[in-house]
Amino acid sequence: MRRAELPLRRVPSSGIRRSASHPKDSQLTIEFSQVNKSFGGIEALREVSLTVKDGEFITLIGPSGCGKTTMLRIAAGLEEPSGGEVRVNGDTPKNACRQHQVGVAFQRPALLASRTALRNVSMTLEITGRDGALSPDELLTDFGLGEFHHHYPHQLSGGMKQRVNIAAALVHDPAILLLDEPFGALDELTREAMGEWLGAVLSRSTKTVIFVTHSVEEATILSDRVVVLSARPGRIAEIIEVGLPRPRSRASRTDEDFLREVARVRTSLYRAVELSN
Amino acid sequence: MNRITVSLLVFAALALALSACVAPAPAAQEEPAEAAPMAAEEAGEMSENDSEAEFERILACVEENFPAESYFTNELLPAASAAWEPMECAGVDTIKVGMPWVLNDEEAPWYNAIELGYFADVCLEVELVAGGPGVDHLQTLAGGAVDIAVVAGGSRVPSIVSSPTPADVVAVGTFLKHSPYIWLGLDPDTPQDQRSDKVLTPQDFIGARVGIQGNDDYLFSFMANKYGIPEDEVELMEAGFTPDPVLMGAMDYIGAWIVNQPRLLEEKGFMNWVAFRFSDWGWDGYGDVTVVRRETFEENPDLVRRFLAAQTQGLNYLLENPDESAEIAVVYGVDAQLTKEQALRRFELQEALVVGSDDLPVSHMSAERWNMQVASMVQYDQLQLEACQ
Amino acid sequence: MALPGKAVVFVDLANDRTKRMSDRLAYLIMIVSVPILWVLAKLITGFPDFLLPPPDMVADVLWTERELLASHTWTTIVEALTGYAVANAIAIALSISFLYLPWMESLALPWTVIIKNVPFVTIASILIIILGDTPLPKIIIVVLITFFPILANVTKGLKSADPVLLDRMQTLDSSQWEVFTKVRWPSALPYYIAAHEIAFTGSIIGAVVAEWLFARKGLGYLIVQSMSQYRADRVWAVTIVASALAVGAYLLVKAIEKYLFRWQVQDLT
Repeated sequence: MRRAELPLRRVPSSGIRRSASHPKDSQLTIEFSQVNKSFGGIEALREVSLTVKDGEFITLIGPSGCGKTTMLRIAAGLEEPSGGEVRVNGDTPKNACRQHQVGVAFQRPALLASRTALRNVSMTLEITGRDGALSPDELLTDFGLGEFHHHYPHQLSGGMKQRVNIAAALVHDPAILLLDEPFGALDELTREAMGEWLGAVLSRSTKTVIFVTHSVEEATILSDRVVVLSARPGRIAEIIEVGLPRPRSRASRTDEDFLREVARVRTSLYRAVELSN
Repeated sequence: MNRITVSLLVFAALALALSACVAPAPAAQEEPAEAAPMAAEEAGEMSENDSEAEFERILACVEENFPAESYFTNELLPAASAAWEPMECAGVDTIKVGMPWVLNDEEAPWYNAIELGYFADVCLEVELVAGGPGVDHLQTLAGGAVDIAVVAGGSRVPSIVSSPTPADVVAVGTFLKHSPYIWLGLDPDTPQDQRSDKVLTPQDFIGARVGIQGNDDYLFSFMANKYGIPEDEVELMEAGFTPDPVLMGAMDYIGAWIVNQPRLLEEKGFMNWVAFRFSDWGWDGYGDVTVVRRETFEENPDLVRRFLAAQTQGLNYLLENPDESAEIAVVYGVDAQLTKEQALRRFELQEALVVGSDDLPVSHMSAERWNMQVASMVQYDQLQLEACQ
Repeated sequence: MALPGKAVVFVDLANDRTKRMSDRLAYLIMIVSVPILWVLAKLITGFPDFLLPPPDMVADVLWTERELLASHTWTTIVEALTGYAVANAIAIALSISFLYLPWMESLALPWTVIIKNVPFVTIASILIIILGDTPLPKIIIVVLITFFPILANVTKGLKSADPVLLDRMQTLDSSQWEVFTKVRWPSALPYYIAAHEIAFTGSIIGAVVAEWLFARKGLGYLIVQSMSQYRADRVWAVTIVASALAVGAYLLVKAIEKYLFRWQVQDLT
């Protein structure tokens, strides 16, 4: 389905608006072809090929050291592949960043301690110059942080900080969202709530997402496809399509179909772990 | 590209900082320049009678309120005619004596007293504590670190005694009866190998570069006040204790002692040195004055008397046997590499200062001279005496 | 769909308020204690007035000679501030160059170590002989004393920028200038302020020491002059003025720090 045809479900007071700046001509948004990456003598990725479709939610999962973060960083233009190439909308990742097509959020929130939540979010707009892509004010309110616009990061809980962080990654309305274990540091309940919240946010404004996680349940509940990686060297072990309609709510966590999908991913992950040893 | 821009910015900032650093500092010295010569003229025109009358008034006031007898005495000095006789010692007193300068040939009388056993003869064991830049033995005396001090500038004694935070000390004898302080330069109009007969006046220093040592600027301040020399028209510089900057042309004059630096110039072949003697221009204190704490003077006058007897004996030996004294001085003067010839030249230059122009025996001081020096200091702001301002 | 919001306050405000009170009290206690300790010290040691004059005598000098003290203090302040400004400019420029041109750091490091560790009295003596009684040698000495802590701290601070933030800036294709102004400099600011705590007070001591070596104006000169006039009361008055200046400089830095980082204690209500 093309992004432009997606109906935008408007929530009252929602800060999410569709921006007209997304390219509409490309079906393929992110393409890894034969990507290799080594750091010194250590081979982090070997022969990784993956095509992420427009509007798709892809999760990278695998044992530690499988190179999932490296894949994400290459897609963000933060690392150069040692071999092969990555195209984002037919262009290099760096150029995609230059066109402000990419939003990135890491496990540790990239927030300035001396700026309020609101000013941290609007910093993205100051840099990209995309004023009015979305309103930081409305976005934060939409993210449930209505009372906390003028709080500093140290005054916010972990989950709140991460929501500010993701708001900062989204506010310029990029087509692609790269999330590296954004909920990794949160407690279990907050983490579930945040996963559900992210699903809801994305249902209102579809993005192409690459998501890195350690949690099988989180991967299953959020993704269209789960890419299972094995380690040493990092390579794709299996790609699993989650056969359930998105978005999926907390209720579906107890659903039998869901549990079956979780089991599939987990089995695959176990295989990948074995493969790694 | 960005990197280059930033680098350029950085260097620009560096350059700016450097230029700020090199640029002349806040110019605040310009205003008085115009007013000053007029002030000088006025001071000149203000007849000498006025300042003399003022001096007489202050002198009378000093004699009344701060008489020299309150801080000096000759009574512990040996009688001029006394023959030298060693004492019978029941015990030996060990004392520390602060010297007026680093150990060079200035301290010849005390070296003689040690080397020839005069101190031992009066049952004293004396340790000479070197002085020099940054060491003020008048203060170490007051603080108790030395028992007796020989103070280069005798005028310091009334200063410390009359200070609001005074130390109670007594001057008991002097080595030099006139101040040896000079500003020393070369006379460009006299060939290098001839002596100069040029007479310097205070006006000669206007526009000159003068090197002085650490806290000697009170001497300049005195002269500037007395002769109406605008203080900022003499370029004062920090100087060491050799006349080399004068030879190199870095300074026109350097603060010195008549008995020391001129001989160094002569030795380098510059006979055409010329000296502005402060003692000729109203600053004539005693030099190398022996000082003790009043409590020592009152409680142990005998110790002081013995010390002065041996010191005077060493001094007399110096006057009578300069040759032998010079040999002793080059051995004891460990802080300066001096030759016997240099020491002899010093003794020659200093003899007049030691003997003096008064009829008093060596080492003796006069209340009149002290009072006049104090009155001059008061008149020209080098000593605060409330009653006489 | 608000998550249960839980605000974490960085500094316990109530606690902080009592802490501030006790800080002020501590300074008050100090100011009151100084004359008491002074009198005690005089009683115990029996030091005469020319070593340790009584506090009331020094207070009297502070009052009666206030114009003299003020004019010399002004000279010292101007020298200290000028030198300090130059030191800041050089140190910050060098730190920035270290950040973008690592070879500069390798090149400059031995020099900074040398400059920091050469006994500055040697340099001072030479400067004074070359430059004479001008403000320049004093300013240079202040620079030499103060620039190293600033250089070290700002260099460290600029490098302390959170790598995650730097990554975020890179994916947003921000310019080096934006990275510097929005991330690097705010990260370096606490380090920079910490440097001021040491260096700013040092600038005053540096100026005083330089004047003490050779000058005809300034607090350092006044110490020399007062000592040569055996005016212990004035020496102590100058000491008090210089200490008060240094403490004032320190408190000023503290106040600026408090203002700049007021967000850290911002009230939630």
